[in-house]
Amino acid sequence: MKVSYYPGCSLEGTARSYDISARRICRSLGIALEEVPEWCCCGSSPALKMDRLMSTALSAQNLVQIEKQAVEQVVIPCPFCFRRLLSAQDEMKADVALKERVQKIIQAEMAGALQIRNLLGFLRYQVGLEAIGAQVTQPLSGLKLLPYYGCYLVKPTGVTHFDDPEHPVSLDELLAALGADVLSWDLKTECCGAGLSLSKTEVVVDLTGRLIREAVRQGADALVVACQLCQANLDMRQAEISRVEGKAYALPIIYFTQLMGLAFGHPARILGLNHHLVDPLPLLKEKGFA
Amino acid sequence: MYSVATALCEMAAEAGVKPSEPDIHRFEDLFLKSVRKYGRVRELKTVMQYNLLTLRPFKDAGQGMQLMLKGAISPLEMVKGGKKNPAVERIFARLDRLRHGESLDEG
Repeated sequence: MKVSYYPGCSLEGTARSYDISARRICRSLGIALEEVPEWCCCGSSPALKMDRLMSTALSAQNLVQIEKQAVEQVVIPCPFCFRRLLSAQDEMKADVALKERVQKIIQAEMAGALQIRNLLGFLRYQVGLEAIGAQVTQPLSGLKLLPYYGCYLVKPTGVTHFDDPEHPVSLDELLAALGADVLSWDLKTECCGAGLSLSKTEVVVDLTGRLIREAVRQGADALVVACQLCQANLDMRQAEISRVEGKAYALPIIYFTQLMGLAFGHPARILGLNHHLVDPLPLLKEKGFA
Repeated sequence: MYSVATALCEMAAEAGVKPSEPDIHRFEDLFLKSVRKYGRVRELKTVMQYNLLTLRPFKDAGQGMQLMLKGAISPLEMVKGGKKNPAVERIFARLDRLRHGESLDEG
């Protein structure tokens, strides 16, 4: 199967381990990822907040590039890029005047009929648990994992489509297919503070503190994420959370793609598992996975 | 949904209302400048610029150093820009023209 792949800016910057592990597991599953040629930033929340036309035009520029690839679907690991490209296509479908205006700005025409998928949803529902399970050579038995979806991935209702916005299960099911012990909790879709890590650090420390505290209380070995902002916030702020609470926290924050790679038999270092601030390698070694 | 928030932000910008959270606005402004210049946001370069602009040059330096030692990020990414994307620069230029009340019909 060949699909278009839109990595987004973070995956070539601070979240390279997400990109590396995503490409690795797709290769194992027989999925050819063809990177979008000359892709650009979707504008993320700054463009969406400050200028709707800019945000839609940047997404449209990418949609045009994807349409040139002659594929039916594009797979996007970053929840925000996914939501932005999907919303832009839907908004232009519903508003012909907006589409014409945007086409003038990007000086190109688009068909607007792409299937836009988030990587997690694509693997869970298009590839399927059976095909994923068939690649598992090292089941993650005995690893107690808490799935954390964050708030961009499955919200808002009626936009992202692929899972329940309040009680999503796709990541739970995928981790269970890898043989892990999947724990349940109520904070699956709570916000981690997302892009405010630099400008409102205290808010992010407060929000991630709630998540880390509850995850530890639940007895999790690690939190599993599908978003590079969630990963960075939860991984990076544990030292500050520990300082504020007077209690040392060191909970590994791992991408689901890294765990898939591990279960598929790829070495931990090749999956970038040595790149996180809270090192997951001691835990994985103790459990016999690395 | 967010279209209401976006419309309010656009109206505030047009009316010259100062942001109530200037640090958030500063970061978003630097983010979009990077996108305009390179077509993609250069994360570490933008973080560095933000820290300098807000006079906190060593904010999160400890975590940054650890990530460098682990090979997760490269110090070069704080200074290098990379290749530019003229198509994106043209999009920003056309948006500027619209903001100034010009038409795009002449190309």
